[in-house]
Amino acid sequence: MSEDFHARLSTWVDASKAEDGTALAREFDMAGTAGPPDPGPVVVAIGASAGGVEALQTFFSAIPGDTGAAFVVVLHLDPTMPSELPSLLGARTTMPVIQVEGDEKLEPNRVYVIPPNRRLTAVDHTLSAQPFDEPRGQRAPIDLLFRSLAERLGDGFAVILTGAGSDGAIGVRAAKEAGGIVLVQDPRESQFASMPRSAIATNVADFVLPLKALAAQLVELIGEKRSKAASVAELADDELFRRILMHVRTRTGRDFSHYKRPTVVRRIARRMHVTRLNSLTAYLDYLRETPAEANALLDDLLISVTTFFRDPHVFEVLAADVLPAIFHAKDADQPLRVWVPGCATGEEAYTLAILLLEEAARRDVRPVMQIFASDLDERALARAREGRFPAAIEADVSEERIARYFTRDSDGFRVRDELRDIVLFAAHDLVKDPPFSRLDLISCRNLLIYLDRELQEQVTATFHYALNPGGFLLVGSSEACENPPNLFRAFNRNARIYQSAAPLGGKPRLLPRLLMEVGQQPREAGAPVRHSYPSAALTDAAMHRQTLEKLAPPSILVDEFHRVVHLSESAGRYFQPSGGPLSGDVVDLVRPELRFELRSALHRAFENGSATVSLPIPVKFNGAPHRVHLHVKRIAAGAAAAGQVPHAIVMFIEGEAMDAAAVPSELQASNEAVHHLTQELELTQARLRTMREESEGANEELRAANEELQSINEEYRSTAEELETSKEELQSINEELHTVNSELKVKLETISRAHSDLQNLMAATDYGTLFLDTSLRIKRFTERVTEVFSLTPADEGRPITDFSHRLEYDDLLRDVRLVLSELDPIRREVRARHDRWYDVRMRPYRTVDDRIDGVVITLVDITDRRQAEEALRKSESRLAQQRQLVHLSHDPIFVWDFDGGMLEWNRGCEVLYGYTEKEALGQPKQRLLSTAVPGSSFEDLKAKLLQDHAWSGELHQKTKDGRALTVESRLHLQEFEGRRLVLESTHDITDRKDWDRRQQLLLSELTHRVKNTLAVVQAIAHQTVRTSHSIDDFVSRFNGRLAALAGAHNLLFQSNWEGADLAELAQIQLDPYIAGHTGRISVEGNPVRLPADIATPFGLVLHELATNAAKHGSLSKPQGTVSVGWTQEIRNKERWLKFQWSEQGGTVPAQSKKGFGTTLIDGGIPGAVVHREFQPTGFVCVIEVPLRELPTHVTPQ
Amino acid sequence: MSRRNDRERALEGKRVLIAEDDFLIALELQTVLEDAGAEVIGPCGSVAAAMRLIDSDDDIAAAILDVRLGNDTAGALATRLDDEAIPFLFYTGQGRGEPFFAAWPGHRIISKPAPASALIEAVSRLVIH
Repeated sequence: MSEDFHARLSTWVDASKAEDGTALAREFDMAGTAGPPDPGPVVVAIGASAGGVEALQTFFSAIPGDTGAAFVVVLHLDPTMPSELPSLLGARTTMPVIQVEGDEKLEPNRVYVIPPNRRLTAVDHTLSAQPFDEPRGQRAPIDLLFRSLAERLGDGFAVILTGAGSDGAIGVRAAKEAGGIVLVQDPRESQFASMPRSAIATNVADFVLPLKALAAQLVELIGEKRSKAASVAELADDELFRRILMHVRTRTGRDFSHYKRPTVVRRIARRMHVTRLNSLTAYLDYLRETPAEANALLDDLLISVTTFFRDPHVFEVLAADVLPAIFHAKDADQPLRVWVPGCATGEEAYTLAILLLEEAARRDVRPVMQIFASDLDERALARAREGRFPAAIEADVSEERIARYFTRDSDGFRVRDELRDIVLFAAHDLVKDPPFSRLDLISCRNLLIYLDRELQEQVTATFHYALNPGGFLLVGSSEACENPPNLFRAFNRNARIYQSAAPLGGKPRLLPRLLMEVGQQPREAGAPVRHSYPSAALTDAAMHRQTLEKLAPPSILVDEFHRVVHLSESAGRYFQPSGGPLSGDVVDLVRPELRFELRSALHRAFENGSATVSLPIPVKFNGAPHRVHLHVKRIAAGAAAAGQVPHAIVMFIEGEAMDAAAVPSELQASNEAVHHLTQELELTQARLRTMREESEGANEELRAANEELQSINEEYRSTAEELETSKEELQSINEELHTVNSELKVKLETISRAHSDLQNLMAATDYGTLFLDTSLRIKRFTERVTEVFSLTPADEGRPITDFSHRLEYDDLLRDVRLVLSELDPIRREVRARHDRWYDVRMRPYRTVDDRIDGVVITLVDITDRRQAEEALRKSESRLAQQRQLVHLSHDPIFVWDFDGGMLEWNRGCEVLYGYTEKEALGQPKQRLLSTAVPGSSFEDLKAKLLQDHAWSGELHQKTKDGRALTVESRLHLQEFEGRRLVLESTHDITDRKDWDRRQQLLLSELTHRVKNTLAVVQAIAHQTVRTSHSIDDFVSRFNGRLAALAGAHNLLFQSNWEGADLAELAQIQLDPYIAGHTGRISVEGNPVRLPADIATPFGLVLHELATNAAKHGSLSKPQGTVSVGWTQEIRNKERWLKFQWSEQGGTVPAQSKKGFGTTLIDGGIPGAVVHREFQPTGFVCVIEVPLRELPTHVTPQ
Repeated sequence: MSRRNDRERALEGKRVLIAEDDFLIALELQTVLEDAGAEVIGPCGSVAAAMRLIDSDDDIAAAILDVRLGNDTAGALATRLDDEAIPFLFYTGQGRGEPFFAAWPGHRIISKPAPASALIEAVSRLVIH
């Protein structure tokens, strides 16, 4: 607002300042018009929360740096973290951004930012940051700032941006009440819409715009605010002002003409600002053209701020002194009635309700309690009825009371029904409508200050009427109710609590005349209502009037009920009240002589409006009769405002004193008749007076009854209104029910879908599922259950105890009951009679709201699993047996890691290799056993193993004590859990290998011998052929020699080729000849064992000797004999055999050529010395041969 | 029954050493070689006897060795013959796989018993060589 405007407004306000005292001073500050000469910059207070940083950045980008306004930003910050906000905003605006630490004086074109964990308050034009009083979570820094700005700085701009919660909702109302303009970000655009919505819900938002438009609007508004040297001079124009109020009255039925002018002017100026109109004339035009503006102005005019427990000390006094007094005075059955006029959004009414309930609880009584809360503002009432308040009320209401009387709502609190039921909200015009009556307490705070003095007195009188005798009145801190006097006495002046001064049991008190008639409808605009505004400025006129009053005849001002309103100074001379109760009726007060004339004159004056000047009436003053003329005149209607009661003035014009003796003598004659007539007249008059008094009494009672009825009617009306509201609520509940119904329909659909899902699920799961209720009745079951219980769908609802089952589970029912009582699930594996196994699980059936409603039993057929488990168990035990077998096996079996050491080592290994299992495990296999692969390498073996996963063959290994082993080994590579394991079983073939080699040697020896023998046979055959004469000769010789060879071999074979006994050899070779020549061959000699290499040729030589003897020698003669004998002797330490073949009686052969036989005899025996000679007695052959004890050839190399 | 044949006298005048301890086989070898015209040195039944013959005779054209000679083998003898550059062959009952033969690769091994013609033919090759 411009200074010019402020100056004008302040003068204008000054005019009524004297009357209003402190109340006005407060108004004054709120308007921000007085105080320091520097009004300071326009203040724009901005509140934001969640999503606020981004919004603020956008916002400040759109605000130029030279608006001249000071911006105060409050954001909900993390109390523990330093704020980055100044730098973030500094990047978007050219204005300096200051984080308030301590105190900062507000300067134009700056941005002030709240610091973390501090609240901002404004005192004059200084911002200060202070610690919070409230715990975290109950803080409402935006409300705090807005409220302090409103209290201290008055108007300005309050901006609410995106945010969660409801912080700022109370603050914007305070700002608006102080004349500020409220701008709110469009919730649809806001990232978090809750805070803007809460602000809009207060009905005080002037602009709801998207962020950019909001910034533009704000800049424009600031500009106007600064530049507008408005033609607000017009505001002083009574006529325009009245026309505006008249229009509001026409449109809305609300009359603000008796409201204090500064308040009204301020609110109109604010609307002008919002509508951007520069003059009252223009605003009036706008008001006429725009029907909605009248309501907007009405809203602004009605705006009032109220909080819970406003001025706490007042309520402390109330609770401590007043309420106990009220309760004390009441009987239990008497209702307790309280009225809160101007209740706005109901905080005050609910506060009182809380106190009443607390007092009642303290006294442990439950009286009928009724709080009437009335206001003009229907919208405020609607909110009051709803009883929903923002979370910020936590600042005003103690925690216990919140917990006791409120329920937490989505973003605030809601009063509990207990509280709500006590309070009756009604639309009621304190000025126009009849009051509530028989009240114990009226709380009317900060309402009187808005009213002018005349209206204040009327309202005070109304309160006096409405209160029971001794009832209490509570007014605002800057209000008083001393006028009219004697109605109230101060009960506690500090707390502004008054008590009705009416005497108990007095006669019925009358309702003070209302300024307007009951239920009067607003008059048409053409008939302006005029009020007289008492003014102290008309001093000259007063002096004139006083002078006149002194000089003029004594007079009385009388109202239409003939009551004395005002007396002139000297009028008392004409009064002589009659006995009995003192009446205000002038006729009863004046001297008896004047009464008759006065009554009729007044009657004429009020009935016809005609003035009366009476004939002289003799009046006795101190015994001397004087002539007195009565002049009664109705005061012209134009002199008083319409609707005011008509008045009349009664003047006493006193003539000269009458001489009693001067009574004309001619009249003496008729004295008797006159006296008689006078007596008669006086009698009649007395009778008339009595009747009139009776009539007046009756009339008054009727009026009192009427008033009473009006009050009752008012209550009914309020009740009806409340009912209307209830109906509306019912309507809305009905609508809600509709919504709920459709929601239920949707839910039902969902449920039926869920149901069919469930059915499909139950069908799809191959489990038996059985639902039982708490009394074990079957609720539902699946097909598979019938395998165990013989159920049919018709059995649902029957108790499960009626059915037998095939489970070998006698404790089934006991377990079900246990689950129901303990709520612990039970699970068992149970055999069924048809040799199936079931996994039976029982768990409590929990409804979605976590109630136990029975038991769910699931039966899972686990026969296959059981069988598999059984098989597994068997195979495991088999495996264990096999492992044991392997371990105990004498065959060495071991397992080694292809990439590591030994893993398994059985008993056979321990025995073969000498290492214990402990020593072997973990050792590298090759090193442990010094494994070598014949003809290859261990590396090749491993490569082969990798390729084929198997290998078998001979290995050379060494035992712990270094013994070399040959083993036959089978290796098998198997990958197992990422490791390559080698299973190796070996078989010790060292002995077999030895045996094999020996056999091999034997075989080769045998081959050698056979070949040698064959070569010998070949030689015999060849040599025999060379010396044979014929085939027969050859055959016979060859056979003989072969037989000799075979015989020698035979002997050697019997001795395992170690040697042959000479006697046996001779026996064999000579047998064929002994048989034919019995007694002719003698063999004699000690036993001699011939070595193998000698025995064979010796045998052949014996054969040749015998053959020669048989063919040519002694055996060819009939008496010839042969003696065979041998001896042994030692020569040169060698044992020699001396063998002698002697024939007797043979002939000397004529041999020319040495035959094969002879050659054989001479050289056949290795190392032998042979002597042959033909003695006269016969042929003699001596063979001497050394007998070396030689091992046979059969020795391994 | 004589099997003399002029065509077989391929060893005429060649002096061939026979080391064979079995009398009958040595006799047979001698017979066969002499039938082929060779002059047989020995046969000797031991290594020592054979060594002595080699010592005293520097006109040996070839030799036939039995591997086993008494309790010795013909190893030392074979080495000596190699040193003297006298060609020889083994006439033995041992299998060809005997480790013994590995020491004298390239020397003919004739397995007992062998026909006379095969022997003559083998010895002839030694001599011509």
